Amino acid sequence: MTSATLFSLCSAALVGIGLFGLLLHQDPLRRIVALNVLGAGTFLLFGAIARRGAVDGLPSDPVPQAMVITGVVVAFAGSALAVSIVRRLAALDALDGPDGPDGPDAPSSIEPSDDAPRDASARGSGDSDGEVGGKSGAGSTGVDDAPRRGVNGGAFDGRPRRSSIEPDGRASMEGR
Amino acid sequence: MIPALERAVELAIGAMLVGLALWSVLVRPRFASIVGFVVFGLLLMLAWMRLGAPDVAMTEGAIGSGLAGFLLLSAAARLRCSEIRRARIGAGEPQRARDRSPRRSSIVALGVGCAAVAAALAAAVAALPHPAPSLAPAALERLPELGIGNPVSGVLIGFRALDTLVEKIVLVVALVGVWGLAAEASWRRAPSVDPSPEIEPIRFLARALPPVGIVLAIYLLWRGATEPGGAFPAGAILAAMAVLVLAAGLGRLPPTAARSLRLAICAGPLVFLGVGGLGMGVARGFLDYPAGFEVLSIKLIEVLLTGSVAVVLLLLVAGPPEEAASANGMRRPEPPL
Amino acid sequence: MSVVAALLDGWTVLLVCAGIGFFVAGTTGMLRFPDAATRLHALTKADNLGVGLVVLGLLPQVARPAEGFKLLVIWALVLLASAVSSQLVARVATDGPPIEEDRNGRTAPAASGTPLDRSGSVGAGAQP
Repeated sequence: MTSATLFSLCSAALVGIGLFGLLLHQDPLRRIVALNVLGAGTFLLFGAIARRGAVDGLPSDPVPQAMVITGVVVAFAGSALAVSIVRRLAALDALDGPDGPDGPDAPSSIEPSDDAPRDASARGSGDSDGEVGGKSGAGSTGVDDAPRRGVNGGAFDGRPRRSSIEPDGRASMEGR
Repeated sequence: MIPALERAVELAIGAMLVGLALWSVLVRPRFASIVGFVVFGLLLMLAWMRLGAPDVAMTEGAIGSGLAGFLLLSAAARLRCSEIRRARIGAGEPQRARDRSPRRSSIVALGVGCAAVAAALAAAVAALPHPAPSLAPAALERLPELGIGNPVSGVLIGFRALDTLVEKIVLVVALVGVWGLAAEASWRRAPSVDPSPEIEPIRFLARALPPVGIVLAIYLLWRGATEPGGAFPAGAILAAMAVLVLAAGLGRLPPTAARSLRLAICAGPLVFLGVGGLGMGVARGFLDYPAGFEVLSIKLIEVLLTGSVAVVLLLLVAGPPEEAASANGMRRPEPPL
Repeated sequence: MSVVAALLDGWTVLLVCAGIGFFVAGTTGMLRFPDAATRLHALTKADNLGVGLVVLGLLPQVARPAEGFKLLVIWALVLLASAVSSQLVARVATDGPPIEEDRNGRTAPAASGTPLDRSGSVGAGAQP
């Protein structure tokens, strides 16, 4: 058994384990860890295949290696984005209080789903456009958002982020 | 070394990898799971060394294990705090009631399904063609044209430069996504790294280690042209040093609105794009380096990329700017320019 | 000349085996000792000595002086990291769990009977 065979079998096992954890857990952080295990297994498979392509003077095919280096960095960026989403959701959950206004939405938004990055980046660019609004945001959100919550409260009309920003503004008002 | 002994070492590494992966997926406390994952990443470095890929081993260790471990651990601490707060105000129960745990039968079915996926993958690996296809001869043949000796660096910055360029853009987009999660009130403020709960030993380490780390990063960047190393591990080490300094409370990040910060984030990809676009006029096409200036172009791109990678990785670890940071006496938002 | 080489090889084997012995002892201590302080005691002393012996044992095998210098730097960095991390673990272990602390430094009611045990997870529920 060559080392390429051994580590490719190992990588198959890692993919299975990561997939199991990803599907089993409901805690988002555990899912991120499992997703990283799954990713590590995939990268290791690339490594084993690179090893099989060894030639004289090179212990391993450099092209899959370069892809893995790229992939490790991108996987880290994805994890960082997912962790930020989880942290934000947890902060909003903690601020919600006992009445929990966005109760029904919460489980669906906990999913670190694939379209979260798109959603988040769209929101980021929107904010950078409205720089003047951002300046006075702290003072005005509480006033603005109270009626908006009433109108828009349970409606899930394609702007889920808006409804999840509100409790934060309210809480910051309470803090002062 | 004796081949049988090598096999035994590799078998041990593989077995420990599988065991640690199982541990970090199945163990109950979050903290133990993440620590298991960090150790898993370190063992993975050994596996990469055995596969003859030291460049990947360094990147994996610095980013996949080190920075990702810090990211996950600090997120776990955050989540714990907010759960405690939540439990104190009595909001924990409805959340808990919603998360019903799956039935035992469905867990078993899930396990069987995932084992089937793993077995199918193993069968596919066993059926790979012999002799294996390889791009190594092609890479070795054209490598002298780039003027660098490390084939992995050559592929990253030369033959597959488009991948690297797009990856840099993905990093910037991910950072935009992270910043976009900032609350309305804290947008444009400074992101921060969670401080260590026990500050004194970290403070000592944050004073002693960065000089070594900076020298090491420059060394890796410099020798990446001919030997394992390069822009990615160097940038990751710089980012790790910065995280250490910030976690010790010895420094502070600039606000997200700062021009200099945004320039540092974009400098690497922009110069990469610029040099690549220059190739359309001067050389044979996009991302083809002008003849005679290959080494100069590659060095310029690598140095700037290292800086940008370090800044973006650091900011990804720090996360979105938060109100708490300003409430703790951190800096006020700058007036709009 | 071959006598010198054989002596150097013997030195390497001897010291690396001794280092491994210290590692095994330290790991056994970490697994078997009852509390954090004794575990740290076993781990830090034995492992630092183990790393030192392995590095000293490997020094005669280097091809160039620069490689030997790198080995020594690795040794110093491991000592530094070990010192700091054991300090951290010891402080956390003796000062009480900072896990119970809020981010603002407020201490959560320790015996409040919060449902957050060490698992501390919202949905980690399903374990075999």
